[in-house]
Amino acid sequence: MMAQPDESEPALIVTEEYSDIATVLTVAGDIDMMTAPQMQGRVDAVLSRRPSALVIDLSDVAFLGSAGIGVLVQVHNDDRDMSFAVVARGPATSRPLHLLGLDKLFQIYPSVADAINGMGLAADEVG
Amino acid sequence: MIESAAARNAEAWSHSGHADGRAVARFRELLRAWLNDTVDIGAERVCDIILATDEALANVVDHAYRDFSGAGVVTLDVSYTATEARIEIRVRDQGHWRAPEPTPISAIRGRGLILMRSLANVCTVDGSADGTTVSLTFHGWCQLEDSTKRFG
Repeated sequence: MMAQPDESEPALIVTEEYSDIATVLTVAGDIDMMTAPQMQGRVDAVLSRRPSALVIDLSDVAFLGSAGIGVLVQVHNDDRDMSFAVVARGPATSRPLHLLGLDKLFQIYPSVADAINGMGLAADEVG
Repeated sequence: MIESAAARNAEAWSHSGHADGRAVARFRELLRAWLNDTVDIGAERVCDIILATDEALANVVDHAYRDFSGAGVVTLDVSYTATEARIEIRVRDQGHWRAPEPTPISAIRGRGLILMRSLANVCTVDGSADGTTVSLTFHGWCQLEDSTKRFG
């Protein structure tokens, strides 16, 4: 018997927004061992364009496991001359990042606007 | 409907499945629904329990059956003692436990055990020749709530 395609294939919704000052990668969904590779692929694609600043926005992430945390750490490790920050708030995302002490590796902000300001990138306005 | 509602409100339940990422996600959602229906502990502690349990389950998928020809079974046992405000989680497999390498802060992998230990009140790993059991205990969540929050 043929396996039926699973209509509930887990996936993240990842969107990229470019501006003169930063690339913002927004992730929505559960970042677990199954979906982290999808996030990694999108992050790699963004990094290959060598942005000067990258903000990964986890505001709509309901679950962040160690597989997803590893993606963030890898961006930090790879970051050459790029400014990098993470937007995370709440117990599902901000809490594990702080518990692991990762706020010492990269800046964690409660909103994209705070990240842009905190990174010293704020110009006239952020789209 | 009544049966499934009763099962979700039970004080102890267990699920077993083929040890893969899909089972981990399914168990995680079962646990989230049960916690939200059964225990009044606040969003922060719910997230802690779900994350610690997910790490234990993911560890089974990543490591337990690496030396075997196919993935085996992973079992999640959950029990709740209302009088003691205590939740006990056990994640069991029939594979091999691998002691994690010491993890520098910038390592990509290897944070599962650190997370389990920092999120649970008690975390124990009991490895034997015929399987490994990770036990996670959560209790006294009122004291662990952020002190800026209203005391319930």
